[in-house]
Amino acid sequence: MIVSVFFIIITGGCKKAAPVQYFSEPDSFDKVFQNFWIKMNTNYVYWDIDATNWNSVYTKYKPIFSKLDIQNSNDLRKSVSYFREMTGSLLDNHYYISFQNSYMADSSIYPAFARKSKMSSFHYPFSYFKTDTSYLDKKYILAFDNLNAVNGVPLTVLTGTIQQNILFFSFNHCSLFKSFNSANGNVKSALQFFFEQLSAQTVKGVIVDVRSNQGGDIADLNFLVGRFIDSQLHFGFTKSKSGTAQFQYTPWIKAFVSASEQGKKISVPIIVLTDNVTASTAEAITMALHCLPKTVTIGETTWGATGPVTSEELYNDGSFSIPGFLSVQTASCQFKYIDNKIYEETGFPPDIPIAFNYISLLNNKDVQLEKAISLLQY
Amino acid sequence: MKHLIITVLVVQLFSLTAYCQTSLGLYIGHSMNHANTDISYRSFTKNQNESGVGFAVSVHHQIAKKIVLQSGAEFIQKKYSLIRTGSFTGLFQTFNNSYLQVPLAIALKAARLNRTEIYATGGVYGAFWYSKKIKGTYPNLFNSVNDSINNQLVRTDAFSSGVPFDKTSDRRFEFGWLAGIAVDYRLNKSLSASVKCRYCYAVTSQNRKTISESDLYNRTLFTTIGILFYLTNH
Repeated sequence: MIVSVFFIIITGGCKKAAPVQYFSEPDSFDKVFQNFWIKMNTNYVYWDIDATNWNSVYTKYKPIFSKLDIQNSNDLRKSVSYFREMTGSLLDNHYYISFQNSYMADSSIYPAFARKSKMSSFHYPFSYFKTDTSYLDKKYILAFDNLNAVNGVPLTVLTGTIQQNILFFSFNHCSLFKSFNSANGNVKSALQFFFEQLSAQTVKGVIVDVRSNQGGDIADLNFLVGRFIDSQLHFGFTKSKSGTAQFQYTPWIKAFVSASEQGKKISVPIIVLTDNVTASTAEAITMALHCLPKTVTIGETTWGATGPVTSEELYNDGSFSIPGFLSVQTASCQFKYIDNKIYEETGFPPDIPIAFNYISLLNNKDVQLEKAISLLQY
Repeated sequence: MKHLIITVLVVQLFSLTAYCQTSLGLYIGHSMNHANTDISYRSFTKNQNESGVGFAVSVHHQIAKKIVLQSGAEFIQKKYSLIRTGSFTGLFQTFNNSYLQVPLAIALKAARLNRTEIYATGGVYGAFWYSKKIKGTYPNLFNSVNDSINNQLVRTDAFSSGVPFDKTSDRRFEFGWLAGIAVDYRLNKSLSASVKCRYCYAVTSQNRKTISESDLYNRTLFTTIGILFYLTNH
């Protein structure tokens, strides 16, 4: 009898909502929407700290997409605005949607850019090389690798000394390791010069300039920062999605930079220059170097795209695509810095804030670099 | 229906007074758990059953000549692993979920051979998920290098850690069916050696339901060996 009562209680409490389906070949907007919603639900790594209520998004937009016709070019273009609304408040600053359908191919969605471009402090990436060469001693090296280019801009590395006793190193995107291991351009010789000078430690200090560096190959973190250390550097934690639920995560797992075989503990002061378009791997380099005891950061708060990005297969989360329709770039892990703070969206603040000054730069005056030089000289 | 319930009640109350034998069992055991869930969207991933341990304190109360009511308290691990395959071989996550479980079962004496009694058991259980741990190997993406042809090689790190429960995701109470067999071997007037093998079939998911959440149901084979002490013997 007791068993029977228990059974009634159990079975009575188990009514289920109809689950959202995933379609291998979505041929309607209703199916595209469901696939997108499910993939976001399972792959997006910030649900536990993101204010977006993804269930409410489903309730609101499911009927809207059901009314759209995937064969209708107007509806296709209209859908872009709905995708933009749905994802506009996501805090992942890597988040980016590109569309494959020919009617939408010129559209993209980049919530972080939409937010940041409205800020008074926002500026586009700036090429500091022309200005900064005027601060360097005559034998500086300005190296290019045209085969490692991003949006048509070749990898550019500037290194040399300032006032004979400060070592300067600047690069515009993270493909140093790739370039170092190829025969393209003269980046390798620039890197060899920098590494030799760094290892010799005959200078008063080192300036690493990652302003307007929007990241790239994550291997550059070990490749570059590994030269500043002689043992593994614990600089934060990562966690990814786990299991099968929206809010199911791995524990926080320590994130390391490995020392290079040629790595040496750098005892001289290090200054890292950042601006508000320093992003992704360039931010990781900044934060890792900031763990070293004599490092100071100068400039602006970084972009705030701190979660690393890789292919969906590695963690079964992050970036994904709905074949023939859209591709989503999103972080594969959350990153928490060594101070237990998450700088995604907010960006990593500088120790010494100095605003970007476009007019000064046009007049060959770099106030952020000048501050770095003055700190190292005095 | 009302008359039927009253009749069952009267019969059972009569049975309680006629055959009132109570025993207390102490058991240790082995659990083999399967997480019944859909992982089809996870590439290069295999859902693997895992074994755990358990122990139980069991109260058996004979309510009729061939019917024993069983209950008690059990600690039971319900583990499973998600194992990566193909080029991701070596990566895995083992989920170690521990439950405090209260079974409520009817055991029917199916056979008796000299000192040996064989029971078929069926019933229900309720369980509370009180501990959640994950261990595994994890690709540490920041700790990456590229090989000579620029393939990304990600170093892996082992981890083992408790994980806090999430109110929005984790359903901590589990209910389900159980069925199994038990064999008791009477050692003397007040003691039996006992072996139980039970299959616990959860009907509630470990995941709370969001709109699309994939359900995860535990299916656990719990095999125990122990001693039964007869407290009363009428």
